[in-house]
Amino acid sequence: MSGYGGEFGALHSHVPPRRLLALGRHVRGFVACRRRPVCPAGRFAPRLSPPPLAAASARTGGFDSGGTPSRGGGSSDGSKPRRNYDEQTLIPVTIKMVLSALGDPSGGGDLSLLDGRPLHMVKLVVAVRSHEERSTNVFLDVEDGTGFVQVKCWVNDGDECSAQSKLRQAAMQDHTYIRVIGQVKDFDGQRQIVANDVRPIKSGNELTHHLLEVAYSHERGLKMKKETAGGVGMQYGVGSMNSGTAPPHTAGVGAGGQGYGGGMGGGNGPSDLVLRSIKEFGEAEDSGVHLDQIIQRATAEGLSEAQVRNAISHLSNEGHIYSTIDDSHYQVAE
Amino acid sequence: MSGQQADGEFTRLNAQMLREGNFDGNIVSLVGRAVSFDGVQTLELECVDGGKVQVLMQPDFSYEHGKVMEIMGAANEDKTVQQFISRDLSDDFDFNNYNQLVSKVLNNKQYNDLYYQ
Repeated sequence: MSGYGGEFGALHSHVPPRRLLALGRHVRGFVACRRRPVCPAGRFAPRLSPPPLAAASARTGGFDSGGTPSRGGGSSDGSKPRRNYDEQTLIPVTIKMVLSALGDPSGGGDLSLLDGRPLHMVKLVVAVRSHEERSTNVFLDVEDGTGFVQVKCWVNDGDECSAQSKLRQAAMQDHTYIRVIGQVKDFDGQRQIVANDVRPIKSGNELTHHLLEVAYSHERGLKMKKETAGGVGMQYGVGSMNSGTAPPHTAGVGAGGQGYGGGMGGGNGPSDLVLRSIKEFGEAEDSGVHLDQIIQRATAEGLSEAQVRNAISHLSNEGHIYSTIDDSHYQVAE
Repeated sequence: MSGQQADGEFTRLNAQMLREGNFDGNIVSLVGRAVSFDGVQTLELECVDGGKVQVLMQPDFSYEHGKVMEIMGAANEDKTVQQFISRDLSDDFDFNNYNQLVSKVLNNKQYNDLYYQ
C-alpha cells in the first residue's frame, strides 16, 4: 500500500474509499473526490477521435493527449517523462526558497529545494507590488518579505471558465495578498513562477498560516527523509494531513510529527504489534477483533493495557483501523 | 539585523522586536490595528503584541479607526517607521497567531534558509 508520498502526493486510484474517508476527517477542507483515475490500459486505449495528422498517430491515446492542466503540467512539455505520482507534490514555499532552489545538475530541468525536496508544484502567499496585463498573459510582480519574483499567468479568453478569470482579475490589485499555485520555471536566465491559479486570499490568517506551513512542511520533509534513510518498512506518508493549521507554540513538527512516528507497519513498537494482532485475528471475523483479545495478545508480548489503548486510539486516528459493531471491535482498514 | 536586504525582503516585526532590535534604515513590516491618527502624518498602530508604534504616513493615507493593516516601511533611529505601503488585512486576523509567528518562527535560526537570504 505505497499510496501516499510527498507533501500532498496524489492518491493512487486503487485506494479504497474507506481509507480515504478515514483520513479525510483529519484534513480541513479535504475534498473526498479522487483525481480522474488513470487506468494503465488507458495509455494504450484507442483515441476517441482520429488523429488530425499522420505524425500525431505516434502519440499514445487516452489521457495523454494535449497535456491537460489537471495532469499537473508535467506532460505539456512532451520531452519530459511523466513523473510518478509520489513525486507530483505541491509544496508551500516562500519566494526565497524558490529563488534559491537548485537546478538539476544533469540539465534535466527539475529543481530541488535547498533542503533536498524536489519541486513539482508550489503554492505561495505573496503581496502584489505591480501588475501588467497583456493580451495572452498577465504578469504580477510579487514579494513576500523573503524576496521578489515575477508570476506569469496565461490567459485563455475563449477557453476559460469565468470564475477563474474573475479570481484572476481580483488578484491583479496592487498591495493585496494573493495565493499563487504554479510551477517554478527558469526563463531567460530568470526564475519565474508560471501560475495555474491566482486568487486573492480570503482572510489575513491565510498569510500567517502559509508562513507557518512553510516551516511545518520543511520539518516534515526532513523527518520523512530521516525515516526513509533509516530503512523502516512501509511508509504511510500521511504528509501534513494531521492539522489544518500548524501549531504556533511548538516550532517544527509538533502534533503531526508525533502522529507520524507511531504509524509505521514494519517496526516493533506497540502500535505495530497491535496492528498486526488486529490484522491476524481480523482476517477470520468480518466484525473484527474484540479489544479484550488484543489486550490478551499484547500483554503476552509484554505490553501494558494502557499502551494497547493508546495504540488503538492512535491507529484509529491515523485511519489504519476502524471500529466495527461497537467501540470494542476493531478491523484493519486495507 | 541591519544588513543588506534583497529586493522584496523585509523583516516582519512586532512592537517589542522593533523597540529592542536595530533595524535603522532597513525595511520592516508591522501588522496591527490603527488606533489613532493626528490628522497630519502620525498614525498610532497597535501591533500584534499589544505594543504601540508611531508610523509616519504618506500624504495619501486615509485613516479608518480599528482597521487591521500591514505597514511596510523604513525603520527610523527613534523607533518610528516611515510608511511606504499599507496592505489591508481582514478584520478576523488572529493577532496572537501572527505574533507567535514573527517572534518564534521567522527569526528561528533553524528556519533561516526558508525565510532570509
